[in-house]
Amino acid sequence: MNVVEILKNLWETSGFAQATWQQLVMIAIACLLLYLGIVKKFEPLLLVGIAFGMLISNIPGSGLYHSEMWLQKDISYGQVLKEGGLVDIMYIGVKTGLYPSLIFMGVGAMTDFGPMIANAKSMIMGAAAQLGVYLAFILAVVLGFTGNQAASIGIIGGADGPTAIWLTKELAPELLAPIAVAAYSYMALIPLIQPPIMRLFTSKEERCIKMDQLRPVSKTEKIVFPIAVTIIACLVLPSVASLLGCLMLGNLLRECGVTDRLSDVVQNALMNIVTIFLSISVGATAIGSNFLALDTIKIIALGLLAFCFSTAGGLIFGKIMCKVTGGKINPLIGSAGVSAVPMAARVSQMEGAKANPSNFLLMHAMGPNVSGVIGSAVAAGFLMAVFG
Amino acid sequence: MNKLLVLAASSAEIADSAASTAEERLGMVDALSISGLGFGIVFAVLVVLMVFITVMSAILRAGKKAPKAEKAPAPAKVEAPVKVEAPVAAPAPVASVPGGEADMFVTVNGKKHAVCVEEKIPRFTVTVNGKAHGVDVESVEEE
Repeated sequence: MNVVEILKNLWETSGFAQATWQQLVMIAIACLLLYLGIVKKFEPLLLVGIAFGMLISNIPGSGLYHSEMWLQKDISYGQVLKEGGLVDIMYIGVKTGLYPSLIFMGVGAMTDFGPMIANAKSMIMGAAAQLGVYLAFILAVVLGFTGNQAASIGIIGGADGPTAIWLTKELAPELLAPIAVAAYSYMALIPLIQPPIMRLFTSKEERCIKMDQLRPVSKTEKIVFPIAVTIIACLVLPSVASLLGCLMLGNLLRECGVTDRLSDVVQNALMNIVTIFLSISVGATAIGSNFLALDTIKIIALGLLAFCFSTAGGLIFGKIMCKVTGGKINPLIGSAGVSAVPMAARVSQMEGAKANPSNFLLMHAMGPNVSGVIGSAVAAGFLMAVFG
Repeated sequence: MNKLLVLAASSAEIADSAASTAEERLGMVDALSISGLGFGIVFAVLVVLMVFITVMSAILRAGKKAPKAEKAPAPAKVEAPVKVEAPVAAPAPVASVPGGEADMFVTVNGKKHAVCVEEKIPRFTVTVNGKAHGVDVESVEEE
């Protein structure tokens, strides 16, 4: 046995010998994202998993993820199970739309729709805050993306990670990594992105407006609500049934009062398990050769614009509603319509409190905030119906 | 010859793929109309839901207020004495329980309560949910 030969073989099979510059750059980006998640606490529950998935899939020769398996038209799941790596197997849940739907179930179980039911008018702001989805879609078409890709980029403006993943894995799987990274990064950056836009679109007097206390919502209303939303929204757009149906099922488990154990599992154990699988598998799709492209920069720029347009859309409708109601609605709650529960509502609260320290807008902002979740799911369902 | 055939086939594939990509690319008019329609549908769905919630809430609240209005003129309930229905299960003979410390169970209006005995049978006062009631005992069953 020749020791030199063994050492030579070891070197040749090691990641150092196989590494490309793209893989090294991706490993550096993964480390940066880990830093942002762990030290800066930017959406750590997701970003840490995404970054780590990115890290391990870019280790040369690891064989954890095979992008070529997933870009075929007819995916053979048997082949994936037989020949795929660990992340390939996890990725089945993304590709089939299982993870985003389960995450929505958890979100539903954690969300109190009471503030929205108490102030149903706030749903208009949740709809208006989807403006960014469609403006970013138009801009993406102008920049030369196909219809499917433009739809997937536009949905970043919905500020809803699972929805963005759900739509992109179907319409433009090749863009899944940059879109997921952009969506979750911007969600984490909402406290930095939104306040300047909020101050730009509102006057000091408007920001100081105090809103009346919300009425209490009965248990019956809270139980009827998820059932009615499922029937109405899914009849209009059946393509959204998997997302919205799961969201409302989760909420029904929470509110009906007879399934506390299930609600607890969905909110905690299931949500955490799915978050781990989803984040690792989405991060792993960020392979250097695909990710380091001009399109990624365009997507990240368009995602930022989508967020800004959505915030502006909510604020503009907030101002309109402020005028219509004779100054009873603080327009700041409009910006919470961009989904991103509950971060966007917290930002509305903080800006309101800055203008007037005795102003408590949090519960008022939760109305547009949770209607934004429904709005972005409906927007995604529409795009799926058109391009899917 | 074979090489030429392969080249021709791959050129045709590239041409097809380019054509399909071109088909997928949208014109501005299409993009604008899709955006307008999509935004409109999001609004329509949420407005329908808003109307539904408003109507549902109004109906439910009206339904809740109505029985209250009917009940309002009804005379106030007589508090005491509350009839204790058998069985009354006492862990120990009631007489032996020091006042205020007793643990016995009484069924009041069909619901079993742990009560505090302050007087001896056949008529005594029990405290149910912090409220004192005069009680007539019809029968006592020891455990």
